[in-house]
Amino acid sequence: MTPFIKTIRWELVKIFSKWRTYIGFGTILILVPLIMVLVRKYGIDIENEALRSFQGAFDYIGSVTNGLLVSYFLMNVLWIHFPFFIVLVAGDIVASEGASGTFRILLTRPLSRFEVITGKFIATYVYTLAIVLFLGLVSVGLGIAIVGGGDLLVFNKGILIFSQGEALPRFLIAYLVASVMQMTVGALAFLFSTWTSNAVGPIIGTYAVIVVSYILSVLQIDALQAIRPYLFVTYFNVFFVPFNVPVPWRMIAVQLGKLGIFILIFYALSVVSFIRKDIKT
Amino acid sequence: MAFFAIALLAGTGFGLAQPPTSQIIARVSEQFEALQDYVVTLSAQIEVPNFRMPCKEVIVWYKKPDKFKFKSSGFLLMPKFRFLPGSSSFLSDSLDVRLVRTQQDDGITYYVVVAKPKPWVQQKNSPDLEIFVNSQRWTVDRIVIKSADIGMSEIRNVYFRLGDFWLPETTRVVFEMRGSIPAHETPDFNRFFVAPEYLKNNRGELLRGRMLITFANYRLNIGLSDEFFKEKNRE
Repeated sequence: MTPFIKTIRWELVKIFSKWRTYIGFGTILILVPLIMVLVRKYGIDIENEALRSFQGAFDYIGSVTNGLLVSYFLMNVLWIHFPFFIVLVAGDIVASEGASGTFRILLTRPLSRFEVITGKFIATYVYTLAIVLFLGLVSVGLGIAIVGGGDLLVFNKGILIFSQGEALPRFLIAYLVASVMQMTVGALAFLFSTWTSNAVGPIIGTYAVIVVSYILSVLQIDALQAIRPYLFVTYFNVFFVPFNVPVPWRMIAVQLGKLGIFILIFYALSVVSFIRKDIKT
Repeated sequence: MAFFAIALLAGTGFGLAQPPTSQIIARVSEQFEALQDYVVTLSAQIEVPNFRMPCKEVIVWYKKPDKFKFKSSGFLLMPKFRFLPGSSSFLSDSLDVRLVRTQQDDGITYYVVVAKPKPWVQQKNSPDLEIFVNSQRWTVDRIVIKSADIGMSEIRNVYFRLGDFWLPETTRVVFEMRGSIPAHETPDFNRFFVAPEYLKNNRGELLRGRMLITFANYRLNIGLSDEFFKEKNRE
């Protein structure tokens, strides 16, 4: 195992040895089953609302209220709620070294600063991927187990119904894509983390950027159209794109490419910031 | 009822050479007198603008007089109008039925029967049915449904012979209904577990669609018990 791989592994050990890392996993494990049980017990009346046009001429056989539908709606947490679990770790991963005074020990190892910061960055993505896939696994798995499986109804340029066999691969693609979207947030928090020795600043700073970006992206002001392509939240809807027919791979690739550019910019700035950092503790 | 139908036909002056309405109804119903029960697999494809549902299979069990049971792998939309063999709700006692004309089509004479809900069962915007009965084999080959509320629908059946019975092989439904499905690019994510607002308030525009139902694997008179239909529908 090369020293660089060891660094990544060690960073992951550090991430998963902190209790705050498990806040996200714990919240998912409490919230998702609770929602599933509530839906199973009380139901949701979505098909009568969504398929109102058909009610005069058609009867329904079966129901679209199932675990997949609940999981699909739960993906809405990825917009603004879920990033909290990402910034909690990404905002802490560099700043906490400064706060605890471990930078000097860390940098005595035979690794360049570039390798150290890159190892931390990769570990942040591994955590991001893990928690996003965990959300997907718990959401879809417990959804099917508690509420039941079946067809998935989605609202995407109309009403689309997918069989369970069609829906499950789309969920997998959606969550993989969502991990990149979440990593954009993580990369920004990571950048802020290289500027400070306190994790609170990066967490609040990242959320401030997200909220301001959302506001700018929804305001119906013509002048704002010009800046929207430069807001990373503009491309955040990419995780719903796999629920199209057929799957628009090109659109997904383009949007992921744009998010990737943001990630690379934040990463590059983080590297520069860390290499130039004056470490006194 | 029969007397009324005969009197009406006599009054219109063109029913004299034709069988009375009651006889047409009787001949259509006779088709299925020996059919006690059956099981059949349907596959349904639906085409509606901005609506997508994968091709679905559903197993249907039927037992006289009107017991039905469905088993589907998922969610399915089925026409409200009873199109399944053995079911004769469009000729039930709640309808006023009268022969209005005969029509030649591909060398076959069709009795065109109009059915309207009787006044005491009639609800607002109850549909009128125009039923085309094949005079050679006494099957319902075509039904036109007209409703002020949901527009016009048309059902066309193609039959095949199985033993003593003419049974549907395909049913094509062309329908209209009020309330289109807008092709909104971005769903409304502000609220969880509710349909977007634009779908709730879209009663204005007329929506046209088509449905193709294919019947396969008929098994007739297999001795289904009543208890079988008391079990919860396995959907």
